[in-house]
Amino acid sequence: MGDKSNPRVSIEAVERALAREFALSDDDHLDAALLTRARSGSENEKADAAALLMRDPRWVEAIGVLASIEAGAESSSELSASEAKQRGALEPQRRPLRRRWGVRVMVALAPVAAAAAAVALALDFRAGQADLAGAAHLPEYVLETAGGDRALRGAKDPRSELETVETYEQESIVDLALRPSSPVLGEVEFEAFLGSAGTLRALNLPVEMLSGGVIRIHGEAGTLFDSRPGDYTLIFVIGRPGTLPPAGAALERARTKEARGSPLWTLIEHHVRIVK
Amino acid sequence: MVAVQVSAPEPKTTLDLLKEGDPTAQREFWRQQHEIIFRICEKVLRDPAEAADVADEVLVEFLFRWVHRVETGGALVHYLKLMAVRRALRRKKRRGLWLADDPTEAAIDESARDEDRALAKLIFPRIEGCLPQLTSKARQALRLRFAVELTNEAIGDLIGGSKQYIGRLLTQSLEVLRRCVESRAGQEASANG
Repeated sequence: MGDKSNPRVSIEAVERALAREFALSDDDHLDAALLTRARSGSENEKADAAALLMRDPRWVEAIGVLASIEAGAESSSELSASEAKQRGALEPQRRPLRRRWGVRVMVALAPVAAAAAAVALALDFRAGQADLAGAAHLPEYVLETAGGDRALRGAKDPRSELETVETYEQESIVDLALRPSSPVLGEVEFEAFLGSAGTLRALNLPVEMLSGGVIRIHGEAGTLFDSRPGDYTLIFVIGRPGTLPPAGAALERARTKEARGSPLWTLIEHHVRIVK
Repeated sequence: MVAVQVSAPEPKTTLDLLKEGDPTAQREFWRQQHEIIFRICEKVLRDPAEAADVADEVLVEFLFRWVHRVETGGALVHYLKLMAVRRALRRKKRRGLWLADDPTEAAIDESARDEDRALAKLIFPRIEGCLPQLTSKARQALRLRFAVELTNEAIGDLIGGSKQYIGRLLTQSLEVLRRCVESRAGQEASANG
């Protein structure tokens, strides 16, 4: 090697680094090979394979994500170029939970659901796929609010009921909980937007993940929304990783109140008024 | 006199051929599965270059190592998809870790000689960043060479190209990587004074 400012690297050194970079790993395949064998094996082998899966939440996570991808492949391909461009502009920066106050989270696995997934996979990958896709579907989420002063106003869309509007001062404490109707299995992605007068802004909200997939947002209105007084629509999109709709489509759905999501993602609106 | 009925042998399955290392079966399997695996990886990673790398990784490891452990072919494709998701998720998480931590020290074998350690410290952290400078095909060729030690001819059979072409591709790719690592190390050394 040369001096510090002008290091010399040999081809042999690069080859050694590549051998390390591309080194085959053992950890994943051992289990998978066993599972493949278990498909036609004895009941004991199947039970062993299921137990193996149960011990490794990464498999259960992969099963859920694959089911999401396969179920969502059709809708994902509908993303138009303009939507993609708009999504690129609006999409919140995605980072791991602890790096940005938590947006992407690993939900605690519900033991019963994990067991069902494990047994299904061990018995038959293909038959199990349908069951696992079912497990990947998100249950309905409802929004529970605390803090702020509630008011009712007539909805712009005549088909809908009266809408609830929460009024917040800049210093008001906002406490929102997005609660699934049943415990969620696997990884969930969450995005939030603040809509006003036809514009949509991605929000990086501090998110706390509670057991069963409950998403809690808590903080001072001025800090959370960073907006001037006015009427806004908070739009929450919750879904399986890689399945969230483009921001443009999400806004459109929020406006038209048409499809509120898919089996793999769901959209919730919350009308807020910020004063002072 | 005893009549012996000779029946035709059972045709070999794709899995049988893959286990035997049949180049034609490997090439066909690669051709059929790579795009499927790639698309799944791309959904997870949202980065075509990284997705292609993970797809290569999954297929190379399967074809040259783990195929021998698989006893039935029925669930093969689903298994590969599942493996692709798992690997892609891991790559995604590792991407975050590499951004968060300096992997230099942890990546170097403590038992290595001082000279090797210095070299490793120079190269290991930079080689991954330099790989995207190569074409997808070049990365595939490097992986097949350094992960499973395939000959130029076998690499060419699998991903297309004569053994002479693969030989040139590997030589040029190594040189690109060498220069890239040197350049990055030099820039960083200058920046650090």
